[in-house]
Amino acid sequence: MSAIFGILDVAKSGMGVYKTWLNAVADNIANIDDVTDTSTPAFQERFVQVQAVEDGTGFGHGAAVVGAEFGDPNGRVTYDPNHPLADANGLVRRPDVDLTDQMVYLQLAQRGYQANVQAFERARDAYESILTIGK
Amino acid sequence: MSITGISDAVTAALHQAINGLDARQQAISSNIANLETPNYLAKEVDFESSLRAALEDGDPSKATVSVSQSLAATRLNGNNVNIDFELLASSENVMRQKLAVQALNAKYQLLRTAIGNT
Repeated sequence: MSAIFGILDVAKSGMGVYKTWLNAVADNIANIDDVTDTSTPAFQERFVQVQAVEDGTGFGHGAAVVGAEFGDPNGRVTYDPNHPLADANGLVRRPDVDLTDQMVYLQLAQRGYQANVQAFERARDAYESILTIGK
Repeated sequence: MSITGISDAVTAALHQAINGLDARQQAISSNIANLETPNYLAKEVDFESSLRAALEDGDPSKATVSVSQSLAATRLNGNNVNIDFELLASSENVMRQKLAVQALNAKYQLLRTAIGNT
């Protein structure tokens, strides 16, 4: 077995992963209406890359964020001739972020975080009971 | 773990059970942490069959804990963790562990009575 009270670390790693995902989703939503001129890249949607962690016991040791990926810098070019940033053809660039996708990710990340909080509480329960051995 | 006057087959078996349940709790927590990790297959821990065999052989300390990957169907992202199952298993597992701890404590209480130290 790994470190003492190791299961708490496992649950903590899960909370960390989902919190990072929540951060990424929040960032995507915050920038969903960004407008740039057509010579600048659009805001790129953030994706979180996650991998399972092993500790040699085979029972797994949670998950970890291993990197980020970014969406299309070309975004969506839209016709908006009255916009101050519009080019000679009346075009501006907006990020290629879909709000429906983001709301779904938001739910997944939130539920995932909550499940890991539960796992943490269960593990704490179990350890508390183990600490009564011999009392 | 050796079987001595204080530690008999019952405490050895309970020790193995608590160990196995702890390993399962770790696997369940790992499954929950990897709820949405692409291509992650849920882990399943078994120690009961090995412990039963070891008990029949008379030496529970020979029991081992084995881990395997769930054969459940995967979702589109190649992940097959079932959150309802994991949370349920986590609850049940903790209760089993508490039960084993209580049994162990009852055993020790008997011992304390026997050595006149209640």
